[in-house]
Amino acid sequence: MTRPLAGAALLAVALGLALAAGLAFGAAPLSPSAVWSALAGTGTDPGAVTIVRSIRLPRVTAGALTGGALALSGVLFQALLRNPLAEPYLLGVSSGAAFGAVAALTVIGPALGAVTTGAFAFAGGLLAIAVVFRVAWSVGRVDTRVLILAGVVVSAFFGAGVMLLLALARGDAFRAAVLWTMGSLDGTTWSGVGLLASCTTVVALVALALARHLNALALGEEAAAHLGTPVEPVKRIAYVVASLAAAITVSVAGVIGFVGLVVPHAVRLVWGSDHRTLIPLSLLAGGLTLVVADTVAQTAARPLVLPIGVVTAVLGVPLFLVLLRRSHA
Amino acid sequence: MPDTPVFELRGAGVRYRDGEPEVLSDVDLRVERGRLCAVLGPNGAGKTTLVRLLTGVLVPTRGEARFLGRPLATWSRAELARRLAVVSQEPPPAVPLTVREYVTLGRNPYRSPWSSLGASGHELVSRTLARTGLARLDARPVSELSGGERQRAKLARALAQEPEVLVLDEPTAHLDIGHGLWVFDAMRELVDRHGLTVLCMTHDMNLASRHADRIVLVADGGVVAAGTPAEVLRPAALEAAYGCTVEVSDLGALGHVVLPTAFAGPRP
Repeated sequence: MTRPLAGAALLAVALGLALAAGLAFGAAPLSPSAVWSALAGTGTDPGAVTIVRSIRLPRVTAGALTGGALALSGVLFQALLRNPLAEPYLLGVSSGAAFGAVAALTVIGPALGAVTTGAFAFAGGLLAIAVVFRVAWSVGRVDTRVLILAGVVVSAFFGAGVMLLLALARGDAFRAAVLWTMGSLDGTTWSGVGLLASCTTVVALVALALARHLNALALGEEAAAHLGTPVEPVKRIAYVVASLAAAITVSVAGVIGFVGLVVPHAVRLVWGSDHRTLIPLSLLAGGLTLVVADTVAQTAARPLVLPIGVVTAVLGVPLFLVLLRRSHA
Repeated sequence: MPDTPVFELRGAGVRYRDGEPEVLSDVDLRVERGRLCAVLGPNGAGKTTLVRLLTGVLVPTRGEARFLGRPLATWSRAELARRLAVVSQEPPPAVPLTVREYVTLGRNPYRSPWSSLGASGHELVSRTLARTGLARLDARPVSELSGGERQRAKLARALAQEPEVLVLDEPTAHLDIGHGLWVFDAMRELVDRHGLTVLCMTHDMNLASRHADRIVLVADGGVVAAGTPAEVLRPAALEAAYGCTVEVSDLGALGHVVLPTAFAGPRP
C-alpha cells in the first residue's frame, strides 16, 4: 500500500471512530446502549431516540461535511493565491456572511429561525465574493495580488459593519449575534445536511478535476500555462467554487476558523504536496478535525457548550506545531 | 509542409496595457525547423516579451503570431504544451517539491484529470532525470538545488513534455562558464540528435556565436538584425544596439569573441 493510500485508510477509520464518538457523546448524557438501540430502531425512550436520530446524527454528519468543505476550500485558496496563509475566510466571505447574519439577528430580531439567518449569511457572503472578484477582474484576467488586497479590505469593511451593528444592538440580540459568529453546529437539520452534502461533493469533484492544474500553479501562472494549464479559467473556477463552499458552510455553521487554514498544511507535512492526494486526504482530515472538535465542545464543560472554533484551535494548534517542528528536525 | 516555419511573426506589435506604448512593434521573425536560434539584445529590449508573444502568453495587439503555421490564438494551452516547452525565468515553487515531482509536472499536458502517470510515464521521467544528470538528486527538494542543478531541473521538466520545440529565456543567467557551456552543448545536442527546434534568449554572445545556427538581434522593441553569427555579430550593429563600442574576434570554428570596450554615448 502506498503512503497516501495508507493515509486515506487511517483517516477514514479515524473519521468513522470520531463519528461514532460524536453519536455516543453529546450535551445530554446518554448510555451507549440507549444510543445503540435508538440507532437500531429498537429504542424505547422517545427522548433518547429524538436526541440520537434528529439531533446527533445530522449534527455529526454536518460536522464531517463542513470540516471537509472548509479544508478543500483552504486547499483551493492556497493553490490559487500561491500563499500559505490563504484560507477560506481570507477574501471576505466570512465577514460578509457574518454581516448578513448579524444584521438579520440585530435588526430583525433574535427570534428569527436558523434558516433565515443562514439565508442572510449566504447573501452577505455572496456580496463579498462578488465585490472582491469584480475589483480583481480586469481585461479578461484575475490578478491574484489584487484579489488578496481587495479581499482583506472588503473583510475589514464588513468586520466594521458587524461591530457597528453589535454596538447598536440590544442585549439578547447582541448575545445571539456574538454566539453566531463563534460558529456552532447547534440545531443542524437534515435539510442543512443535504445542502452541505451537495456543496462538499461539488467542491471535492471540482478540486479533483483541477488537481494537476493546481500542482502546476505552484510554479507560477506563466509556468503553469506552459505546462498546458488554461490559467484564467482554472483560477476563476477555483475562486468561485472555494468561495461558495465557504459561504455555504458559514451560513449553516457560522464562522469556524482554523480548519481551512491548518488542515491542508498538516496533510502536506505528512503526505506531501501533490493535489491528487492532498485533496482527498484534506477532505477526510477536515471532517475528522471538526467532528472531534464538536464532540469535545459539547462534552468538555457540560452543561456549557464551548464555541467550536475555540476547540479546533486549542486542540489543533499544538498538534500542528508538533508536525511543523518534526518536519524541520 | 517541410518549409512551414516553427515560429512566424508578421508585423507583430504588443503592449501590456491599453494606451501605453508598444513594448515590441513591427516585428517580423521566422524561425525554421531544426535550428538552434539565439536571440540577443540589451536588457529591456523586449526579449522576455518576445518569449511571451511566441508562446501565446501574450496576444499581439497588432499583426500576426503563428506557431507551426497556425495562429497562436487557435491553439489550446494543452495542445501547445505537447509541442512546445518553455524554460523561463520563474520564481521558486510555492510549495516544497522534490526534483522528481518537479520534473513529473512536465507530463501534465498528457494527463487527464483521473489518469495516473502510469509505468511508461514514470519510466520517461526517470530517463529524463538520468539524461540531465539529476538521477541521484531525484528525492532532493528543488529549493535545495544549486543554480546549475536548478537550471537542469527546469530543462528536465521541459524535456518531459516531449516537445518538438524548446524556448529558453536566459538559461545561462547566473551560471559559471562550465555550466553555461553544459546548457549550450545540451541545446546543440537536442537539435542535432533529436531534431528539436530551439530558440534561446541569451546575453552570452560568445557561446551563442559558436553554438547557434542563427542569431536574431533585438533592440528598442524590434528586430534589428538576423542571420548567421558572422552576419549579425558585427561591431556596427552591436554598437547601435548596446550603446558601446566592441571588439569582435573571429576564432573560426570556435565562434566569435565579443569584448565591450567603451560606451559610445551616454551610459544607460
